[in-house]
Amino acid sequence: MNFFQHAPLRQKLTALTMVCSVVALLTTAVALGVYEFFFYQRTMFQQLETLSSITARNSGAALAFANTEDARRVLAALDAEPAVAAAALYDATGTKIADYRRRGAASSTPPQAPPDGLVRAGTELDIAVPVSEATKRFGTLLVRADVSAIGQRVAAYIMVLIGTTLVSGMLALLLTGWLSNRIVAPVQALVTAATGVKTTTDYSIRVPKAEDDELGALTDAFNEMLARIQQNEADLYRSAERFRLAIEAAKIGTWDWNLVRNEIEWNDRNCEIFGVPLGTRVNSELFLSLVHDDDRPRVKAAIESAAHSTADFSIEFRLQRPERPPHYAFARGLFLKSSAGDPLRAVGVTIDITERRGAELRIIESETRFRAVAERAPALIWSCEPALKRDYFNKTWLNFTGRTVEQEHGTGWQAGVPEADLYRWKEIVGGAAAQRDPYSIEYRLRRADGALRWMVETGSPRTAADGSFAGYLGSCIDITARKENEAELEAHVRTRTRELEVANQELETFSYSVSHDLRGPVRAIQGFAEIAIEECQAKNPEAAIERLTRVVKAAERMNKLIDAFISMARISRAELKIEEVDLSRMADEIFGFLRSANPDRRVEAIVARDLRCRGDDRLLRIALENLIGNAWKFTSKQEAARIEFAAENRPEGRVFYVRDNGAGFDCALAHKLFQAFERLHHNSQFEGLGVGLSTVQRVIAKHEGRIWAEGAEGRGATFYFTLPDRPRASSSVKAA
Amino acid sequence: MAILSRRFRQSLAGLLLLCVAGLGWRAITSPAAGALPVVTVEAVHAAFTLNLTRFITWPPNAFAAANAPLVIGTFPRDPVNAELDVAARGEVVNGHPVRTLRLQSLDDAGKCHVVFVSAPNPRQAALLQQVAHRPILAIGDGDGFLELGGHVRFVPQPPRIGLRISVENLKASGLEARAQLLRLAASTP
Repeated sequence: MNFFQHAPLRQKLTALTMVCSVVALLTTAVALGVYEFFFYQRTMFQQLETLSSITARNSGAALAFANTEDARRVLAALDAEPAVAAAALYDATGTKIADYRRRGAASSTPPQAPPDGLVRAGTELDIAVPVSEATKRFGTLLVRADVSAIGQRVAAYIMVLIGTTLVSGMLALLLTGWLSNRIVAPVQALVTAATGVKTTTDYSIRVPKAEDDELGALTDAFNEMLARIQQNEADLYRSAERFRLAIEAAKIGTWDWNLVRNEIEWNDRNCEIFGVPLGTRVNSELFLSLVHDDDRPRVKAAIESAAHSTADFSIEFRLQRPERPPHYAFARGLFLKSSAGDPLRAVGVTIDITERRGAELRIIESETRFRAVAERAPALIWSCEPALKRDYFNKTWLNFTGRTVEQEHGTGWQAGVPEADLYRWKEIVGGAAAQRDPYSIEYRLRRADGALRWMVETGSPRTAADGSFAGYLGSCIDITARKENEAELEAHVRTRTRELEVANQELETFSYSVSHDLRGPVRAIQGFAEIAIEECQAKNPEAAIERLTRVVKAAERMNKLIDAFISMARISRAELKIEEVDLSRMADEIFGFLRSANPDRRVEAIVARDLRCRGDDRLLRIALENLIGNAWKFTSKQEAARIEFAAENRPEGRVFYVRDNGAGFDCALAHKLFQAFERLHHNSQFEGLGVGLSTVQRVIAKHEGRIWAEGAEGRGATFYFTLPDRPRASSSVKAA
Repeated sequence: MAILSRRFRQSLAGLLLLCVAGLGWRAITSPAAGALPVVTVEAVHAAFTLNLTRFITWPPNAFAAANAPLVIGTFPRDPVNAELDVAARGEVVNGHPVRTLRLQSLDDAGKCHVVFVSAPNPRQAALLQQVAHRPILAIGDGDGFLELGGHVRFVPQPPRIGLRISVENLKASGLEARAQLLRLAASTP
């Protein structure tokens, strides 16, 4: 069996074939031999028996007639059968009457007849048969045969068998050797290849396929297996290489702790992290000794806790290295346990987080600095998440609103913003946040004392480490004072603009006057003067005088116009002297003057009492004189003239008015009423320069009031004007 | 019982015949042994005659039936008669019981299958004539027996008695002799 375990396949096959051949051969040979032996023996016996019977039959007459010669002759015939060694014939009394003995044979026949039958003794076979004829027995024939031929034949057979076995064995050996090559050679090739793969781990080896049988299929399978292993090997190598490169690139230290032997296997990077020479034999004691004294108990506890739990562990610790600042490491690992739950092995990684730690510290420092600055900043500083929920308010903000961080947190701060402002805030900031744009917006925020203060808020988008939007960092500044200044400035601008408009109008008026109104008298003066010269030349002094009188009138008119210009210009330039003015008394005085100047006019003058206002007494008197004077003038053709000066309270404020029942005006031309030198009535109807209402308008405008007129032709007119309650001193406005 | 007794008798007869034959043969072959009983020529003739019936084949019509007796005829005063009667007692040849018959006349020969004539006998020739061309075996020991038409002649050849056979006469009578009998006869000078 041992031989078979270690013998090469060729020997096994040869042995198998040989054993089978020899066994088959021997079995066949033995079977044949046994058959041959028995068949031969039987045949021999039968032959001898037959021979004996024939001889006995032939011996009948010899015995019957006691013929010894004949008996001998008959026995002598047995010489032809070599197996017969001796023979004898006995008569009826059992007495031998004749015998035969082969020459050289040692056997002899007994003197008395033996009983009938076959008797074998050693190599001798005695066949005793009766000699009879027609039922009459005459005696006995004894044939003694030498059956040693059987043994000789068997011996010869065995010799032949041995020879045949040897020859066929040789032939089988040769044939097996030749045939087994066809089986063994491919197997040998497989074995050589497999051994080659085992010793060189070269998976590119391939076995040539020789036959298309099972061995061929095996060869194919083997080659395919090698190809797969090669592929897997390559994949594995690439994977391992990738892993190694990744580990190297990530500067990750790896460790593998065998708890049974208390050996820790470190890769080079891990040795670098812990600052020990490469290849140092590490165990748990050495590892702990490399951990900072202050962190060691914590690390030890964490490891022990993890060793008895199923979860992995991770821990940060400082290293016991001389460098300053201290090195920080982060270790993460997992314990592998036996089926009984005992920790056998732990594997994991170590990362040097000193840099990260430094960065964290810097961030913390930066954060601290930011907070220190933010808390003490005069501005209201806040920050919010991407969803615009605010998560930080500085002290200035909280002091300003007088609320707590909890109250302000999230959208709590919006409670202090008026709804309209908040609506606008949401719209603008929401839009900016969608685009991650910085923004700036003004809104009102309620201060701790309850006052709504105008704030300007600026928000700058923050970017997280990964580049995503992290919300806004913003600040608010109270701009109420500035806002007020702006309003004031706007008012000044408005005033100034209005003044400029007036000045512009005046300029227009002036140019118009120059081109039209002043030209009229000038043309008249020129014309009449030229006629007067002609009259003088024609020696017609009366006519000349009449013409010159007209020249004088034109000059007077021109003079009046120039006075009006000057007056208007003065009004425009005049500075308001604001004081308490009693308009009722002023109207009374004007009516009194008009009555005395036109004693023949009967006019019903109605003046409301105690109409007071704040304004420039002189300018308001000019305005009122013009308005009442106009009414006096345009009611001159009325039988029962009526002029009313009063005031009425309207939603926009108190409105003064001067109403008459005079000539009135065409509403369609109302817009021309207040333009300088515009006249709706011809001089022939009502005398006038066309500057009165323009002057009034200027005075009212100067008081920041408004003037307008209502009326219809022939049905009187009403002039309304307003005067603001407290017109500011114009001294604060710098004329441009 | 009858069968047994018959077998017994046959066996006994056989045994006796053998004894006679053996004695006869011994008397001839061992003349010096005076202690042994002397076998007469008649006894040998009787035994040989009976033995001869076993080596001769008769034609089928020679017997009336399969168990018809085989009749041996002798003249009434033939010296062999006593021995023959003893020898023939109880013998059966090929199913035929052996009977002896004294020939009162030559015609009686027609009832026989075998006739034996010891020499000298004057009626030998007449008998042979009577049986010629008939299936009757003619045995004798006289000179010229075969020439007269006999079939078998016992020839004294001291120290034994030989046989001579006429094949022509056998053929003429429709009888057949066994080869070994002929071989034995041929060896007789």
